[in-house]
Amino acid sequence: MNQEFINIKNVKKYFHIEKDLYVKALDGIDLKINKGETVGLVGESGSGKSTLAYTLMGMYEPTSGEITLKNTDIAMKAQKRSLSIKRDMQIVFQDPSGSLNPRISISNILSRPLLLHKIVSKKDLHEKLIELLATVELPEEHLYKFTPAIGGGEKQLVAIARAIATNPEFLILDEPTSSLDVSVQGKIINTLLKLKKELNLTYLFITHDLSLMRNVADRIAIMYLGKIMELATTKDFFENPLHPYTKMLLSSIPVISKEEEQLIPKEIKSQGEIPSPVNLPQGCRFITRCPYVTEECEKKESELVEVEKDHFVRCLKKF
Amino acid sequence: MNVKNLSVDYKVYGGQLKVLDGINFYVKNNERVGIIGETGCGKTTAMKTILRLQANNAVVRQGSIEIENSSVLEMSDSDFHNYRKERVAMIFQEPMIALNPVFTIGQQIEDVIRHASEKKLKKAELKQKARDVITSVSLPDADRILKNYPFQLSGGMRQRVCIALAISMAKKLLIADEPTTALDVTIQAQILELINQIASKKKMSLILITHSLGLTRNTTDRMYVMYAGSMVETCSTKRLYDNPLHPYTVGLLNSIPRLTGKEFSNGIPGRLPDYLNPLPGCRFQDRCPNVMEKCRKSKPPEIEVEPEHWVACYLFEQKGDKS
Repeated sequence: MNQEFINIKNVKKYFHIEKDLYVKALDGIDLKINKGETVGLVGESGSGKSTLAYTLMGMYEPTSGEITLKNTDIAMKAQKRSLSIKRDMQIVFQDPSGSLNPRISISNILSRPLLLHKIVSKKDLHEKLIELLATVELPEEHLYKFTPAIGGGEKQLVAIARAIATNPEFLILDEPTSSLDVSVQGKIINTLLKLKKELNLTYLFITHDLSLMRNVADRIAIMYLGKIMELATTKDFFENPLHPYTKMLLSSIPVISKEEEQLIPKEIKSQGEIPSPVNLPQGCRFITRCPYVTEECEKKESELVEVEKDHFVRCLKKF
Repeated sequence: MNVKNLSVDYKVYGGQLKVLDGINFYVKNNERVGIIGETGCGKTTAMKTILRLQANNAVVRQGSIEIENSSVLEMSDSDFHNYRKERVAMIFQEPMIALNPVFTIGQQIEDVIRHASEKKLKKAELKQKARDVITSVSLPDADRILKNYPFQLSGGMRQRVCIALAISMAKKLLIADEPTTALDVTIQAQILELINQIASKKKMSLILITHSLGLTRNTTDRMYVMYAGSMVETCSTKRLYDNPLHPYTVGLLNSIPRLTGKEFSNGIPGRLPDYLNPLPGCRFQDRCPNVMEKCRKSKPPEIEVEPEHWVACYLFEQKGDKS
């Protein structure tokens, strides 16, 4: 099972603004994703998590670094990729009202990937469409509706149906529930978990909601200003968070019960804000908000060190 | 503050949207009240009506709003204007939209101070007051910020400026309408703490409107749960989390993912009812797991199940008769 599925090696993506100014959206990302697992990617706005997703999907070309999918190089724009690679990777966006065309029917939306990738013949198209809707538990009559006529949760289910239409192996979920109400979020998440089991999918799950992450991810990576600060299994991550930034994030979660409160680190309080990715601080990038800053931190940035088995931290502090 | 049986409609093409359907609520002195509800349930409409900031097509069908025993809806415009600037302040959801992008922060704060103060202030006094306001929301480097335009500040700083604007004069009631939705969790924690501190220091009443149940837990004393334009449950914050009664509150609490990793439910099926032609009876009927014949006929009254714990549901009509 532990076959190397996606391998991201020292990937950088800089956006040019003017002369010598660059936004370092991704500043050297190393991440391996195994087949069949869910990797959670957490970070504040501006940390580069969506840029990573879009670079994987080929919407951006990385400035440098390697990305492979099952040992095939995919560090390029989508236009240069072969059709079979595109079929294997799909993405679900944050806001379904923006990612689904309101002027074409749902049947039309779902047919496009099916016909483009020649998944079914025109003759069997209708049957396949009904089957697709059934996998996300939507009734057949939705085929003839337009997206503005259905609710936000249902729209996101249509977006998921479109993503799994090509029988992909890898799905990127870019904050799939953050534009929805909590009462419909549960339905979407449970559908995604069910689909993962049934279709043997691999997920890269992006969200800023750590409580949600606890329930869906196998491993969690924390991003801060274009770098991964901590990477651990979900259990380790919540029971033994090590990086000061992780602790700060955890301490900021609003929880609804006493049992949850006990899991929250108390010794650290949220302070400061994420600096602009144009002028990164010297040394460690977390230096402006870290309560444990030492002189050493101002001089150099730590590597991502394996502190325990499968638990990586980018911090000079001794653990 | 006391709101009684307030109903607000919106006139639209094709009829009237009956958004608020007879809501009752009150806020005591120094009390921190949370109003919870999902998108489109009328939280913001209710607050805007209290401040008389409704949209042009909004019509107050019935009801009354009283703040310190004077009726808000019956006051003349100028009376209300004076009244509002002394007593009520509101923090809006999106700090980028709430601030005017073509004026500096300093100009905007000074405008508010000049408008709200009774006697004419000298320029230097105004500046000094504006500086005090900025420092009171723990923003560093006040002089620089006063000269900045809103786009030069980050989201968290902008929201702090909005809070500064809202509290710049002594107020009695602070309404915070989803003050942290546009912000990251780490900033959210900071902003909430700030609002809390200021409210208790200045002895203000606070209404915190949000859709996230986690936020209200540590910030409020009492909670209202709102669904589709009606208040379905109200009780002390602690009770609400320990012993929710209304099927909607229960469903909402169950659909929140927990840090403990316990499984969470599928959420509540269905979606908000049509405001144009609302069905008679309870507005939650189509999504309720224990709907009864009665619920489809008439709107359930607010029943006091225990002292200070009101539920608008027929399930609790007789005590001990929970089926």
